[in-house]
Amino acid sequence: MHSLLIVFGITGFWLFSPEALVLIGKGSGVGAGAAIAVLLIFSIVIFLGTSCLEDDHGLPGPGATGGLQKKLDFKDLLGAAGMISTTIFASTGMMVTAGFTFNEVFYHRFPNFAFAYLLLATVLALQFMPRRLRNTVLAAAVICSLSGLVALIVYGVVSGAPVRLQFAHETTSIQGLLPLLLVFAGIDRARLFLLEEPKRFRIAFLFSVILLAGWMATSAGFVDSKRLIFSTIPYMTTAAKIAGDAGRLAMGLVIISGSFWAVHGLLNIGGFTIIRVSKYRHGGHVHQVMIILLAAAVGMMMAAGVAGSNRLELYIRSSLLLWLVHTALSVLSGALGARLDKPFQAGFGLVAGIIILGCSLSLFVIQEDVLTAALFVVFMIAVTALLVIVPNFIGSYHGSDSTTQSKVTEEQK
Amino acid sequence: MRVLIAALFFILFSSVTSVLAQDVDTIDVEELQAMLGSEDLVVLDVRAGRDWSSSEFKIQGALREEPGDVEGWVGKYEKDKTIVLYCA
Repeated sequence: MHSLLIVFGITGFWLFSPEALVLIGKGSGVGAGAAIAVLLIFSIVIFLGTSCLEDDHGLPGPGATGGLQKKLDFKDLLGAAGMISTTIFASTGMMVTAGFTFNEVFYHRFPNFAFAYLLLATVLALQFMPRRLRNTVLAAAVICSLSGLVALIVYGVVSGAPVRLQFAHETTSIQGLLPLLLVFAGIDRARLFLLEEPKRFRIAFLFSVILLAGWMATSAGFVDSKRLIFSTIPYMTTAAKIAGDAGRLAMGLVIISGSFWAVHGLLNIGGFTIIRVSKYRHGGHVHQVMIILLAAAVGMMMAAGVAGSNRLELYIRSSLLLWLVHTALSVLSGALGARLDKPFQAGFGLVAGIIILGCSLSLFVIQEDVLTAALFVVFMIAVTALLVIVPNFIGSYHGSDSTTQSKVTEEQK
Repeated sequence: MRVLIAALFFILFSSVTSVLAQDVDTIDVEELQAMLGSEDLVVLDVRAGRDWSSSEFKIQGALREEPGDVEGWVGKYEKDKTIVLYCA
């Protein structure tokens, strides 16, 4: 049993990340009320869809203990590629964003790059702390992030929004609202990890969606729609409009703690995903080594200047879409499997799966550079396939592969 | 296993020192502020990707150029002007 704050930590690691807040801000600029409606529709679709997910002991959730019973299929390979690439590229982006935020909001003499590395090192060090301390730090990050947003929304409501909330603008387009689906990447993993705590998951998810919708309404109420659409950091623009420098400080805290929270969740998912696909024996320090390798990859991406590349956003979006396609296929598979026992759940699951799949593929196709995105996806799937093939080849060479899975299963029993 | 973890930590953070050690000529904020508005000054914002999109601050009047395409834009600016590149 986890405390409610830790359940929030598992459920909302991506929902309150800087990436998600950018999508929320831009979405509110596109259509205000329409964006809130689309956000709520997507949240219902994701909630109903993920209720069909089976406990496949396949790809794990943030902080899962890693079950390895089920054989990998192509759908799992897609999911693993999406999760590993999201871990590396989104973490790179968020660390750099946190670095800029600290430098520009809190202490301009502290180099942004140094702060980004310091934050990455802190997330990494956290993985080696005792479980109790780890949970306390994660809970603190959750409190900072959520309370900062709540404070800004409440202050905004009390002070009164200068812009009248409109249901739609002339800029409203379904193309501009579809990216809101990306806000819900990762919910599948959280739901699977919290299978034994469905009530707490529901509370955390519901509260998170209400909070995001509240922030969306606040953004639309305080900032001109065009400014929100064209801003690269709409969360900061809104915070500054609501409460000036105090608002910037509050949002700075939200972004840094949100980055910490999100990267912690992603590294855990990414680490367990590598263990899962490569069939390493889980136990000892294997998970920690995987997390160090992923953090090293993030560190090297930052050092190589990937954050300064215009293609980073394309890589992050493609990775998230790969993850969502896996979610959709898992939902469809779960719904088809449950069609006789639970016809209503199966029906909702089918509809949800089709919506998630359709929207994800549409988002992929409407990207500016589809060819590069497709090449990137193929490359990531190939890299992930290597993670599957190479350890299995080494295992079979040493004649131990056939026993690896059963050893792990026995260990877990 | 501890040696492996220590080695991986070393690899991770050795990349930090290589980044911080790069030596470039710089101009401080006050110096640039005093020059702003001068006709002989051209400020080029060569930040790209997150370096630009994550930043709240943009210098007024600065022109954006692609850092990876120096050959493409270097000839656009007169050589007798003071050109300040803003990259971080």
